[in-house]
Amino acid sequence: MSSPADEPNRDEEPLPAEEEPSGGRRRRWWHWRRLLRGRVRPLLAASLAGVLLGAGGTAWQTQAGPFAPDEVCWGALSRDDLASTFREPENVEAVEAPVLYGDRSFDGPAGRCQLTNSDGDEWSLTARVHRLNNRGQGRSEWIGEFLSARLTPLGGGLLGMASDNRAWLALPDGCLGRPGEFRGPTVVDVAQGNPVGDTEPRTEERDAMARMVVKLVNKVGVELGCKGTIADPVERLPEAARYTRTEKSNALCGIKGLTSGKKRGPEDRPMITKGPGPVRTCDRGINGPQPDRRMMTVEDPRLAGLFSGMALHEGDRVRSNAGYGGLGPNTGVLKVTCQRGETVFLVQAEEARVPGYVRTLFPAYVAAEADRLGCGPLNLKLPRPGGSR
Amino acid sequence: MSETGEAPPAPGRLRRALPVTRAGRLLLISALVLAVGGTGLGTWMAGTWPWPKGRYCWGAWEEDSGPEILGDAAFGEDGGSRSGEETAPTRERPVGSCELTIAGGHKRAFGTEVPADQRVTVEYGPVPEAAKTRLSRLQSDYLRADMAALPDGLPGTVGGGGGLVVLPKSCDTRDGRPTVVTMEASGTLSDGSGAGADLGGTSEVAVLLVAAANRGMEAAGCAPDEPLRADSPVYDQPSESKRHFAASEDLCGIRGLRLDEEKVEESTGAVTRDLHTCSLSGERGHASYLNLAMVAQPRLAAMFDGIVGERPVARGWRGTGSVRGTHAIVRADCAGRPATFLMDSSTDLGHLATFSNAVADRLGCAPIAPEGAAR
Repeated sequence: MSSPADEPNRDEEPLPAEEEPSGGRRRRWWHWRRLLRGRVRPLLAASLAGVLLGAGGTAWQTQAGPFAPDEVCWGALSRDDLASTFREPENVEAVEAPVLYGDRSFDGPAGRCQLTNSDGDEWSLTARVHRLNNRGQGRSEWIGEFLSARLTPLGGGLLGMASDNRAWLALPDGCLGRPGEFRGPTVVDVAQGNPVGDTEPRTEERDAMARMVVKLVNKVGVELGCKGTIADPVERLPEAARYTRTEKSNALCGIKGLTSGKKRGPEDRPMITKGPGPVRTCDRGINGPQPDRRMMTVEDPRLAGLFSGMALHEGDRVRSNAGYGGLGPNTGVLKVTCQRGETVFLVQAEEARVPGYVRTLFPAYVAAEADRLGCGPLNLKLPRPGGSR
Repeated sequence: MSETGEAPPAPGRLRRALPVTRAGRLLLISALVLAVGGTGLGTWMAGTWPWPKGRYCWGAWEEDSGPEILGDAAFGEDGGSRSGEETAPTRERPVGSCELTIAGGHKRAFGTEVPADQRVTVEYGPVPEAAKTRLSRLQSDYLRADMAALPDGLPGTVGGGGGLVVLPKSCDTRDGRPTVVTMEASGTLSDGSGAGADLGGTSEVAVLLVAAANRGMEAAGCAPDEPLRADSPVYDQPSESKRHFAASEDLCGIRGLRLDEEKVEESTGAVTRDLHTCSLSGERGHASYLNLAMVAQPRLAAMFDGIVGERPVARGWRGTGSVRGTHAIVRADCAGRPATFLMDSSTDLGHLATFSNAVADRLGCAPIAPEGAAR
């Protein structure tokens, strides 16, 4: 039998040959209406549905198209991760420079990601991937801000620290190799606004920064040959550091026997790194990128490379049976070999503001700290005051 | 004409369940084809083809499951093959071993040859009973300074070519010796000479080791409720060895640690409250001069239970200790827990005295050896 081609064909036709329309409105065999007749339709509909489902499913699985993840900074941070840092995490915009690294690169991997809220620049947060270097721009600012006593060590053997406005974490040694003696590690760091912060540390924000920097390292590391995933460090973090009120005059910075012999005012309170970590810093007067006075022991040998230039060139020569250093009016620095490896002792203050501070405290600080780390005695030979190198 | 009305005289249950109309049947068939085709395509794309894969080490290691040596990356450009031999531990006899052999060409990286002919051996069993065997097997091989501590607080060490993990107490022998799983790898270059193995980095070695340990414990019936995990990377790796050309230097950063050798290569491994290792050897690792270690991690230290003696190792020393051939062991309380100090490749207790006193100083406890014992 035959039926008009433009009518829906409700009857089931056994074979195409038998369903040829015989009328004058017979269409060419390639006409779409003819092609779409009969049993072809359900098949087509089913395959269309299948394709849509499949495409949708694939897109969902591979997080493409409308299912693309709403994550920023190389896909490492979700909007939830930004919640304690930004007031409107869903409106945060990211400007990203990808993490670039070639095997032959001398400078190590580099990348940058800037997050800004509609509030304006003031609340912008910058994440960077870079290798810390012995010299070069920004090195002393980095040491000043990121090794500050405000930052809590991340613990668990990690080379990293976090405060409510700064955080950093080195890539595991297994990714790019352990840094050598004159090179620093490759780190991811996160910075937001002024490093000074409030007097009361904001623990929730510190935790968010710590979490962020771990997520960034885990994500960035995948491209850089890292294996394994660093777990969330927040649970083991101690309370954030505050200025301590319990310092004794014969135990400056909590170091027994260390005394300056001077009367101290209330503005003299120190802040000391909380818990064991890559550095033990004791800062006074954190009013800018550099504290007014600092006594610091760099215990992780991987950071010691950052100070090799300083130890070689700063001030007049200081000699020791285990290393070398320099003593100037504003800085005393010594790099020695301790049990863990290269270790740096640093005392900094502005001579103009606290005369004699560095010169008085440096030898005693070094001796006490070397003793604590089990690498004393160092038999320091100090330059004569006013002497030349 | 339509055939839809022609129902079979005695339709079976299945027949009745099937769509009656031709269109319905077609729809069903197309849906089935789509489902099967889609699943096939999906598994193919995701690389999860449901055919059995090679499994090694009591089923702990599956081919293509991630680690380099279980994938194509283990082979050279011309491909290769993997084969395994194994004896799984059982409840009755909780001792086992397995060996994975990879044969297949040689890779070249930056002009140096990376062996692709490799042999990885895993052993499961209690620490040896005899003191000397135990010391030489455990300290010389797994407490060297080129090993790092296992991640996630697991008691054990790991390096680029192997590692050791101490299993939980549930796997201890009846006389209290801990069971350990060790892994060792060796490579062969194309000229037949031996070479270090390349297992894809310490973090992957840790993953392989822990997988074997978990499977071994299951087979031996002593697995803990939660399997051991090594998800974190091996974060802190030993630094490169350092060369000294003068006999007077403080080796391993330890004041007063000296050898009467002109050229010494020093390496410092872990230096934590749990573990401290220092190895001194001749140039390029030839001739082992001295291995020193401090172990305070409780399960790692348990490996040496029962062989630390009952008396001080010498006059004036704290704790107890013993000397066995070129090995010495001393255990004393330090900062609230027992610390075990080990020395191998030397009979000179002076070295051990210098080392243990320096480490005690770092940990904040009283000296282990008396004054004057250190050389």
